[in-house]
Amino acid sequence: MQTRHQDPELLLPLTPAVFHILLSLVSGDHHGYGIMQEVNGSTEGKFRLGPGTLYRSIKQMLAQGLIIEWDERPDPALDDQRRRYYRLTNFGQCVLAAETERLEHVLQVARAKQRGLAQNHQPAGEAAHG
Amino acid sequence: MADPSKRIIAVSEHLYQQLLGAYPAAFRHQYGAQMTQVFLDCCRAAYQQSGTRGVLQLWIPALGDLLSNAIAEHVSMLIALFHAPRRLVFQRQGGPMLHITNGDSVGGTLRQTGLPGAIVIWKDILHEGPTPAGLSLGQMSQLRAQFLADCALGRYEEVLADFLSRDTTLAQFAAHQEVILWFEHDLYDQLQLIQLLDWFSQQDRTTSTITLICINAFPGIAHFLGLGQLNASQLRSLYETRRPLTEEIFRLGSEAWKAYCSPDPKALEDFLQKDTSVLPFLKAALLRHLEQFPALQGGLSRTERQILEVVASGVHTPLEIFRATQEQEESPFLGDTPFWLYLSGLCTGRKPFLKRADGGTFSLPTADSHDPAFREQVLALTEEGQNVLVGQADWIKSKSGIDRWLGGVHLQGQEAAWRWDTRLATLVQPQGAA
Repeated sequence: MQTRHQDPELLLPLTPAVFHILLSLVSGDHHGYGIMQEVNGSTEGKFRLGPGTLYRSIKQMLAQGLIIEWDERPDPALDDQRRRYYRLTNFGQCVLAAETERLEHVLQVARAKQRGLAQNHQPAGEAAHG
Repeated sequence: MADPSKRIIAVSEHLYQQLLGAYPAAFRHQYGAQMTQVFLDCCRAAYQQSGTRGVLQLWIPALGDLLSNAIAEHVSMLIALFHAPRRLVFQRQGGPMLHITNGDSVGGTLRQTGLPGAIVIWKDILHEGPTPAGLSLGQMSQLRAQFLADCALGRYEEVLADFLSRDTTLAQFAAHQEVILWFEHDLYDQLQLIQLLDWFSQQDRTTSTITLICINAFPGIAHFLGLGQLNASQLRSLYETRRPLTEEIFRLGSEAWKAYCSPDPKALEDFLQKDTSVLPFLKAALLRHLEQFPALQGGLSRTERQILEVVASGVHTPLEIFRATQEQEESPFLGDTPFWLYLSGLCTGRKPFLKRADGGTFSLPTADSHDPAFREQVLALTEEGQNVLVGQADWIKSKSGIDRWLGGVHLQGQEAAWRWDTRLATLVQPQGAA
């Protein structure tokens, strides 16, 4: 059996597709189209996953142990057995948390630099009054 | 007149399926159906929103997505291929003989026999997962590596590298005067044997003699299970009993492999009507494979039913269950690692048939089956599991459907297209099957 315990940091940075797929699975198990809808909704349509990117990412994420295929269906009566559901693993949650922290740091640095940039561009008079 | 929404969506589906041909076969077999399903969902949504124009607009990003990822997948495959040949060096130091056998244990003992030559270990659990028809050996190896990786039975790149190393050594068989196939009687071995016979039947064999050693018993061993039980001297003694393979055996082996890989399981039943006496263990092995189809009563494979019966009889821990089910087999073929996946399958789903007695979640071994956290799990039947043993539940209905490959047959949907009638020992198509 393969062991998948490893340092989440080793997988960072995540591709946008992998990051959004992980995020979409936080709220519960989804099949492929469900993941696409979740991502579309949470990004207000600004990030769109195609089926190719979706399933290449899923293949990679299964191999890395970030997600697993899950037999249980939220509503079997309404569902099609051909669909495969995916569930976030504990390791996937750790990787998502690590990537979120990394992005927060990037955001802090970017904001600090932008503030510095804005101050440098203020007219001399405004700066004197500030 | 045909509904225009249905027409544009049907044309889109057909075209999309054709374009999926740009992906490597292994990826296509694994994810092609799901990609098509997702694309169809997108088409329907686009049509509802903007009609035909919406579907046509969907095609522009879809083409980019499809082609760019197909290229990326081919590149990943090439990178894996680039890493593979490093392992070839040992196996190419061949000599006059090439030995092909079923596992590391026998391979290790063969090295101690003093017989010269290279050794290829043909280890693939062909009785589990897809073996669709029409694939070259290389394509099959990619698909099998993907399947084994998806079952967490190895890292994709490593399994693929092993398979490609194996295939490359095989492709050089003509450099050896003799190729000796060392196999035993059970399903695991017989499937490997017919896969090889099919491959050899398509090769120019004029420069090498292909011989076979295939046994189901050995003098002095009361309960013969496999070649792995034999020591070097016992294995060496078999060398003299090898016999050259005839055209008839190559032809029969090839027919058997094609029937096993056929999407129609009736091809295998038809094959079993033939005289297969030149491969004396093949018929029983393939019949055992048919018993892995979901039973007409209860929907369980024979392996799954044996597990439940053993647990019902008072056996509760994974290793004990494994040993007890092996005793029920005429010719045990299933290794412990794939067996744990059967246990895990019965413990999952909306209405599992097995559960951990302490209410916890059944966990697979993290490194090996000696892991105490794995070994000490106590399993019990659920109410549904008890019901199935008395004919009052059905595994496929409990799981709301099936998605399982048995050789070349893909059982998929709310009902299995084929089930095994244990009473009549034949495959039947249940009512309501797609």
